[in-house]
Amino acid sequence: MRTTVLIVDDHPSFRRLARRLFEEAGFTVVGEARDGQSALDSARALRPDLVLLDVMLPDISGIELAERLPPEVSVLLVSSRSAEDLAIGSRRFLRKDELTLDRLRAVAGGTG
Amino acid sequence: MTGRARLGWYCVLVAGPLFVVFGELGFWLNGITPRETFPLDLGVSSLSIASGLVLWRLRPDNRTGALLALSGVLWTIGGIRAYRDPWTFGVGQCFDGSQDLVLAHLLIAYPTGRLGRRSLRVLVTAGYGLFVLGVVKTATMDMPRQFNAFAVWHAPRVHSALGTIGSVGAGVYATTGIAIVGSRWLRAGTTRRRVLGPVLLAALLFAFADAVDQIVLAITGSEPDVVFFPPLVARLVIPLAFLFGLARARLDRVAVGDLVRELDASGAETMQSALARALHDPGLRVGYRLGDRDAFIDSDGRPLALPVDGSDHAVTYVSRNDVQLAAIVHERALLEQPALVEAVSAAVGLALDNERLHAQLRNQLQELRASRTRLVRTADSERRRLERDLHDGAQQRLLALGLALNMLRARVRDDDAVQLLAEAQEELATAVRELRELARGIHPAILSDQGLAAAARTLATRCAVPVEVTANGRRFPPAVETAGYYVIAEALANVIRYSGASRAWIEIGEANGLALIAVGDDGVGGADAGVGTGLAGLADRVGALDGRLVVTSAPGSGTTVRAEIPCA
Repeated sequence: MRTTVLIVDDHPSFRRLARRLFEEAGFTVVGEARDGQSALDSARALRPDLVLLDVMLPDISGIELAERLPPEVSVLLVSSRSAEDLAIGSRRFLRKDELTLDRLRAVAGGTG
Repeated sequence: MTGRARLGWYCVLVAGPLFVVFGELGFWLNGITPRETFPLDLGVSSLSIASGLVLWRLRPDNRTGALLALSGVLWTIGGIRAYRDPWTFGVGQCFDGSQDLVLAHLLIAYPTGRLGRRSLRVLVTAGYGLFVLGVVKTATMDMPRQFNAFAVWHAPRVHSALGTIGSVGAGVYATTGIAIVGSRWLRAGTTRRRVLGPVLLAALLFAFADAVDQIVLAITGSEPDVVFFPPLVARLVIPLAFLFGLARARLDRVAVGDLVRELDASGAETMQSALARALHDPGLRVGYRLGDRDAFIDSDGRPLALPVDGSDHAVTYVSRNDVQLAAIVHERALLEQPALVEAVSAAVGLALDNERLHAQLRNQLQELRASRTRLVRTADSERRRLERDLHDGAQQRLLALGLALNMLRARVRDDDAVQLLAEAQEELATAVRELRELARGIHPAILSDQGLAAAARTLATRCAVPVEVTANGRRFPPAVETAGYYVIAEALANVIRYSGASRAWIEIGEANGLALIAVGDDGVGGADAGVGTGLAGLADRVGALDGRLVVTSAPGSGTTVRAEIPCA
């Protein structure tokens, strides 16, 4: 069974390309959200296996939002900034420019 | 004074004493009261009249002087009843006690001498009704007309009843007068209390002495000689109290010369405190006119609001050579002493002008400081905006491009094309990295998102030597956090460049409304904050927030950079 993904980012071009990348990596993208509130609503409704979550959303920090998502949902935080700049700590994190098919396939293996 | 008025005063000066002596001598000659009280009786008349005339002369606009002189005249007229003559007895008997009615009127009208409110006018009119009662009482005395020319109706019971009513009424009236002055004193500020205080004290003293007199009379049933003295002594104090209360302002005007000398002698003495002392108004404020604008500033250069109409305070403007220099905000009661305020204003005109120039300079400095703070804040805000624009604009496009290249590379089978794509991806990664560094240099996003403590920890992790961070994570205002961040970043850069330190530390805390940010190391020390360390610019940035930057760097003892910035 393919891993389902919800993509949360406020930049439409990134969401569009991330959807294609995930689909090529073998995921099923079940939805997209542009801010924290709609991300929460979609996550509760769609119950994805993984949420690709931008750290900097217009209404809430992605780190804070991750705490409020259903516990069974895996979260992969992404940002154009470095983990060091964001003081991400031990959470699962990738810089956006590190988002490649190989890495996503590895994530898919870990999530599935 | 006109010639006619002067003649009038001379007549009063000659005839007054003769009249007073005549009035009081009867008691002495006829042994009606103890002879020892004669000087006191004489004193009450003469002091009341003399004090009243002096006050009238000093404050012609104030009716207190005239009323006080009238009270002395009435006391004297009351005294002529002691002569064994039916007409002087009748007249004197009618006026006996009328002085107290005028004294009560004086108390109620004090310190302006004017009643003002309608209720007070009604009260005083009712008080003078007691005089009519006294006339009727004289007419109903049970004595032959050869002793009392006014005895037209022999009615001892009516006479007795009127006596009781008159005594009770006079007591209530006098007590009301004292209560009114007492309530004014309680509500008054310092200036007015100085005027009301002596009179209130004298009135209370008299009330006490009179009460003792009445109690002794009630107990003994007769008037022993000793009871005459305390009320008479208290009566002597009353005119002096009125004179002292109202003439004080004149004495204060004499002290104006001292004020000018003190201002010259003591540079530390501020104009405001000197004026407050001279005018006996601790709450007095001085506002200096700000150039041509209709605005005033205090001596520190801060805006000063003038009191609105109807408040407890009033304004006296001070001008020199037709130029308005300052506004003195004082208790409204001081308006009753315009001569004093004018004397003080005139005396300190030059000093006020100097002080005004100083205040304007301080105001300009404050505006300059505020402008510097605004500039720093605007620059910080622009940096944040620029960083955000880079993040949302160019950076996102490059990242999207990277994703597209990544997907394209998975589809391309030609080796040369794959090689070219790999090179393009590498260039793109470099561009993204450089853009990230640029954005971080413009404004560190972590500072806005998570605060100074988190940003300091990030800086510590990037430092080439171990850095220990002590911070409780408390958030400060954005401008303070930004200044603190740059202090830490610059200090850590200096640790690497110059100190030769093996370790460093960062402390972030707060005490007494100040954000305390310190960076120290165990290096060679000897840093010069002014030369090439970048700390001079930081001192300006910290100074723009009213803070200060202290660098301690004794040779061989490491360096500590400490910023203290108001954050309350």
